[in-house]
Amino acid sequence: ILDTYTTGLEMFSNIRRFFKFIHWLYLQYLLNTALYMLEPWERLLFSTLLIGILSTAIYSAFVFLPHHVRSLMQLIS
Amino acid sequence: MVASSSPPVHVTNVHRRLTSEFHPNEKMGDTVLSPVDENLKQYRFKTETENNSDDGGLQDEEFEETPLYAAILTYLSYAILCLFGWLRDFLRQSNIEKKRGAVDPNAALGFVPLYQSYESFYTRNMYTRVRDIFNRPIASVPGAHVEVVERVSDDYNWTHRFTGKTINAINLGSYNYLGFAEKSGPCATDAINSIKKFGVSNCNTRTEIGTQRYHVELEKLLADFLHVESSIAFGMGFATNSLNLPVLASKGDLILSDEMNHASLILGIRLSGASYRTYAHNDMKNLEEKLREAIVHGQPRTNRPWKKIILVVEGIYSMEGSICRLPEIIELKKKYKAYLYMDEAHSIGAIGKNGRGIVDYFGADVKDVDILMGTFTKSFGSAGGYIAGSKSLIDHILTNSHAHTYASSMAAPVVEQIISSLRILQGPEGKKRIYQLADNTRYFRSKLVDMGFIVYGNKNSPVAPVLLYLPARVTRFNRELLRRGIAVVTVGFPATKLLEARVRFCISAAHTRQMLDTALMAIDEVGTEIPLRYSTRHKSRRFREL
Repeated sequence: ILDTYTTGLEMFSNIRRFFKFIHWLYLQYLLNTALYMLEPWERLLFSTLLIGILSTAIYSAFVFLPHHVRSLMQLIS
Repeated sequence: MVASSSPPVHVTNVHRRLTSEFHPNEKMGDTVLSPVDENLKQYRFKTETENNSDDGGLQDEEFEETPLYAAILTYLSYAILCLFGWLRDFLRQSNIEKKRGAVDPNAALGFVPLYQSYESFYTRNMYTRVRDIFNRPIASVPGAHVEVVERVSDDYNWTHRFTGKTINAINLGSYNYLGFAEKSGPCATDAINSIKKFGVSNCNTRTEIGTQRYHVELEKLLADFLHVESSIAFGMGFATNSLNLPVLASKGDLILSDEMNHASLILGIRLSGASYRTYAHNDMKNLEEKLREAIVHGQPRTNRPWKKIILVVEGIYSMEGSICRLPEIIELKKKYKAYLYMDEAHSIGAIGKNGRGIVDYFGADVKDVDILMGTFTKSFGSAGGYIAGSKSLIDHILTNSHAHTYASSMAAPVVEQIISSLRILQGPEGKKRIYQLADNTRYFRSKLVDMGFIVYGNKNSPVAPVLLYLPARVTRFNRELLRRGIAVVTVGFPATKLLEARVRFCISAAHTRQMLDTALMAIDEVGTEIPLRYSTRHKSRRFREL
């Protein structure tokens, strides 16, 4: 425990590495979906649509899945 | 059927087996193909370079398959680009957005449009978005270093403006195989002196007071260099192919051409009016199958025998980096009495112990190749093309070729550059360049392969295509490399298949080991940031580990 704490200076470089990693992830998203070649408003449009669809799916899963799984269990047993 | 000496029993053999798959184990008479294992061996990956096996090492080629995730991501990228293309086209059509492409004014006046009043879908919506990586203007002689003119776009590459600066970059894109693209040196001095002596233009065609002493000298020198009887030179390489194939072939002939042949060959074949078939790239089994089928069935409707059969191949295929299988083709051609037309545009000067091209590389007899064609643009640092062969062939071309009777004759400095580079090539300085090119090629390619990139083609060809697949990764790669001071040529869809976008490195004898190391470090860095190490046959390694 004692030898795994980071000094204040190392914390800065760790945060910088973390932000670089997030930037790298964003670049991967842009490259693999060809958004890298599109204009900023097109990127916004596509990302908004994607996040909208994904968030709707996740929200529906959170709200409805427990009930569905329970009724499925009742049906099986 | 070509007048062949094969007995009829071979013909009936082929007829029976035409519908079944070609099994090399079955008795097909005496086919020229080596057994299955040797053919498979050429596609298998070899870790060590084979120094002792004579033929297996020369044809050591590798074409790794596309990884599945790369193919899926490429299709996904093109699907998304397509969707946004439709959206933008809709916006342009309904006048919400301004039309930036060419608009034909005739349509407004009630005329039938003279040209397509809009560029095609792909050009408008995918090519133009990243147009800044293609067609870059340069501002210096394209030697080992080149000055790329810097340009900036304010409206997403519909228009460019020059900032006034140039970027000094290592040139991995020019076909400068032997390093003869220089502005000072013996070749340049000879070219300048020839302008002082002969002027620039001859103001006429070769056949009407346009042939100068240097044309005759060039043709004789070229014939001596290639060990053939005679040769003829033309002003344009593309025109050499497209205007001379109609001289050699016409209606009633059959031309068998490789599927990856260059556009000039395809144009020449179509223009000649001969029937043509294509065979799978470098696949000798397929070629023999097609040859036998053609000889058996004859011409399409009348079933008469073909007047002649010509096999059209290239020495080095520039998009694949592969080398044609000359020994097997020569065996095939001798057996079926066909003629061989070899386009050595990229291989003359760049391949072979003495720089004489593919014939030198394989140690074959130059009389076996009936028509040798090549260009001066690549290894000789000039412009133009030539055809070489027996004297009767060249005399026939002299009298019948449009490229000879109607094209204006080659200018003096162009020809002097070729003459002096040919003379240098035959001396010790030329040997040094050839060895340097071979050394650079082997070094660069082996390092790329060891790092884990997919590199197509023969390990000895100075053209090294590295596959990048996704369009966005291709553009990022190109821009990042230019930022690091390396100019490369990346090619995408219409020139290559949709999935296989690539970057094509052209290695030159003018590159020093240091320049190649800089380039490799940059490629390694960029190839790690955007993951470009697709190879599953070789382990991915960083350049510093090699």
